[in-house]
Amino acid sequence: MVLTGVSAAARLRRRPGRGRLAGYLYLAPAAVLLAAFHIYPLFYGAYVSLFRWGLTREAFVGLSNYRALLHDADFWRALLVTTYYVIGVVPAEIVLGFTVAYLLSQRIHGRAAYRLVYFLPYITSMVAMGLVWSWIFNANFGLLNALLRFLHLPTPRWLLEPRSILALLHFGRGLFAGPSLALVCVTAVTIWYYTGFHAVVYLAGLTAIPTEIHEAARLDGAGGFGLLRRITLPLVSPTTFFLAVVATIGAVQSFAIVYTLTGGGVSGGAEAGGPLGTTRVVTLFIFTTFYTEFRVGYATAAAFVVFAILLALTALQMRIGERRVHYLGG
Amino acid sequence: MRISRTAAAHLLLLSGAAVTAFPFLWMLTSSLKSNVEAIRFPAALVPHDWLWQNYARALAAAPFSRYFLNSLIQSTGVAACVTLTSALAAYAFAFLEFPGRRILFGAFIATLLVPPEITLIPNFVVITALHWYNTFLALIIPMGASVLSVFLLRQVFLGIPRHLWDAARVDGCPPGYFLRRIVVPLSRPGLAVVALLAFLRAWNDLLWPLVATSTDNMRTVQVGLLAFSQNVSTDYTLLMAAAVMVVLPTAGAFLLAQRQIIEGIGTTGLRG
Repeated sequence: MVLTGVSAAARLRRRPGRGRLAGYLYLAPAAVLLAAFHIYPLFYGAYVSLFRWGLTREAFVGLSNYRALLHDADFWRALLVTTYYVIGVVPAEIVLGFTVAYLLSQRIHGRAAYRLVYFLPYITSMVAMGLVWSWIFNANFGLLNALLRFLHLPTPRWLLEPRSILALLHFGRGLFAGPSLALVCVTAVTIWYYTGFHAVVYLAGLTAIPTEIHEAARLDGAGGFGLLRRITLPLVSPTTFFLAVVATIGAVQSFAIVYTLTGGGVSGGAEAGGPLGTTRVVTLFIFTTFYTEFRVGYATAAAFVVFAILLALTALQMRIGERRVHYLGG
Repeated sequence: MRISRTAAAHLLLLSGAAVTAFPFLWMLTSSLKSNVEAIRFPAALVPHDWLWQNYARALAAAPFSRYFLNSLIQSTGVAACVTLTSALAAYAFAFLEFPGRRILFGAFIATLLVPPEITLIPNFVVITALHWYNTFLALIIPMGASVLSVFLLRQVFLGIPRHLWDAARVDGCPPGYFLRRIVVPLSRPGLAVVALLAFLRAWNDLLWPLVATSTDNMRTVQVGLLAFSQNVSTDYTLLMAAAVMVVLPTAGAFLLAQRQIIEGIGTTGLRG
């Protein structure tokens, strides 16, 4: 095996193409799979979206699918529902995740145990935990209403309640009265699921801040909330920014949680996206259009509209991020 | 003052942890209760009689052993595939030199921008055309490469001292030999995390198995559990027993390797 430097160099010179070819060969398996199942679908999907496409390709319709989407009230409602959902989920996940991480970063006892518990939802099945929650929320046999009955309080129908929280409290009505109580429940379970993930990413960001910075600030008389607001928050702003982008994308793509809680779950004869479509987020709209109604071309067009919105949103977040994020030593 | 602040922090963290952990406890205890006790209030956190037969009844009520086998085959296949393809690609990006390396790495990262809702329907059309519908190929191959895993392993490989590579090259060591004998043994923990995360992702996935399979024989645990929940209606104890069984393998794997998994996710920001 051991060769002298001279003869090794000679070998390398004799076969110059070998290392290069090896590079491509090692990349090939991953590259082929990514090209086939991540890149190709982008172009093929764009093609499919231009057709009336049921079980098979039927007729070229140009941009009609997109035009029809513009006039599809169900699609617009799905976008509105998704907007409520994103607004409900993202800030709460970030605030709660940061709070947990901040408290854990204070050299607290039992930190590993806390971290373990908070993170547990994230690695478990959304279907299983969705079923547990949908039973807890069940209007007749759920734990929550059992508790409320015990306390002689009114018992809402939770996941089956299409009326908005504002309407239930007797202000606002109609479409713009805000999210339905059912969607609020779905939002709460989503936050429950993801808070630990945010805490873990924040904890990584917080421990990366050099301790000297905090010590120097303390020597200068900063403390408590001042330290948190002036030093810690700006220093973790790259993490906040990253999490905001990731959480927004993740929330727009939510499927399993909504599907399980509203349809598959034990909510008592409900259909996914119900009640009255008030939890039908865009992913669910795409899924049912494709899978139940078999309007493949139309569903693909809807997916592309969502993709475009998501790209625009991410680009917007990037622009805001450029101005607001502080990088250490940057 | 100092003590009261710590106490307040513990109080906050404990109440948050209680909310986080409660559904798990509720699932566990309910899975052992009788149907009458399960919906009684005030509810007991410890079952009156421990009805282990709920688990046997759940297993008998639906072909769960088949679902478990399917999920095990799928998740193991995905984990093996992802680990292999990612290790090879990460090795190329970390050590080998070839024209277009930077551009190709950028192209890999750029695929992260393509969201699952875009790939879902075209991939369904493709697997149907390939006659993979209702087969394990459909469940495994489309999930067989992961850019985030390539990224994570590349970081791990870059941590291997460069002089080892230089020395091996001078000795005329072929790239494959260096990968097998040096890189893989030195990166065992990183490879394990990638495999475990891929396994968890495949095990917990609902959307793709729902779309790519239709027969009861090919159902994975998630699809099977969902179908089961629609059939058992109000037999909550059976449902909770089934849910516990579906959660148990992933929770077990997590408890065994929690530090590595948490750190792997904390640093790459993988979000399933």
